[in-house]
Amino acid sequence: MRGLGSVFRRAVVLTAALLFIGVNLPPCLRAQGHVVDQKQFDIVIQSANVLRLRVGSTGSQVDRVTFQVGIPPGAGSVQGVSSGPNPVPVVAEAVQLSGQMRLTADSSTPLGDGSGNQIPFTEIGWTGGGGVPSGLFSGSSNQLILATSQSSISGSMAFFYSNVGSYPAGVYTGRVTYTLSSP
Amino acid sequence: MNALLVVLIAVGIGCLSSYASAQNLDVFPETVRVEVAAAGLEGPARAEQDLIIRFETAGMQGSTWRLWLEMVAPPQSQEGTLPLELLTWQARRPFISGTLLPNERVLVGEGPIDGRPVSGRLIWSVQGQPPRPGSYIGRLQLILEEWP
Repeated sequence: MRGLGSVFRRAVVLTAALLFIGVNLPPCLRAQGHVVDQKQFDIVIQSANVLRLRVGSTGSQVDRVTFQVGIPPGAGSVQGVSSGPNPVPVVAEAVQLSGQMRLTADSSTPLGDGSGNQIPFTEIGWTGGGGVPSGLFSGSSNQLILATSQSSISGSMAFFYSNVGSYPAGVYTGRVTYTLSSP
Repeated sequence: MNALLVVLIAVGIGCLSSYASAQNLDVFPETVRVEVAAAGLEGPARAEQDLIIRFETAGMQGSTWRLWLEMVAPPQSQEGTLPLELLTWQARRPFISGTLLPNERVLVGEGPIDGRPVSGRLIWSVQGQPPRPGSYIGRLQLILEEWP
């Protein structure tokens, strides 16, 4: 019995030693990697709503629409010709649209000839295409051109001079500014 | 028994020297900020930020170091979780470019343990647009290992 107990004790010690070696073997003697160090860090991703608007040509130039008025007032409207594509493309996109996107126009500054004569933008209108409704400029600073829940509009505007009022002859220039917004 | 004790003591010393050789893994900054900003119609601008990593191999044991990256907490906002495939990093040797994987650590780099310091950077960016706008915050962990 005494011999059996001794063998048992040795077996226990040997097993414990093997377990100790197996668990704590130095990296150079092990087949697996050993963690030397670890570090945590945070990552923050900021993502905003993205709206994109193009009226006219690609790039940074501002297209010019010209109306050559060679007929008397009341004799019919005059189609405009753009220095860029005709009709004028209107491309509006929202990458992450929540609610509606709204396209507005500021036509509050009348066309002028440099001599004090003016033509209000209410004389100019457009025929819309591709989801852009037709209309006339209101001469206001915040005229709604379109409101949509669609995240993408690829339309156009073919401008015309209504040729209703009488104005002194001359070259009149003006600028309309478009704004695309969403909540 | 005496021989066994000698073996145990030797192994114990080996282990102690192993743990004592642990090298500091330096990571800067503690918070990586990546912005997905609007640009022109040609596409969104992608802002990037570098994560600088440095550690010493002097005192490390074995022949090869390996650096792993694992997700501790996925990037989340109040609106939801950022798809992990959008978050990527670019790197040069000895580090490796990659993308995060859920529930799996990713090898970021490996090289010889030759006593020289190792340094490099991971350039983080978001490829594409998150499904919803917001501020997504997550936590990652770099793990440096020595291999035989």
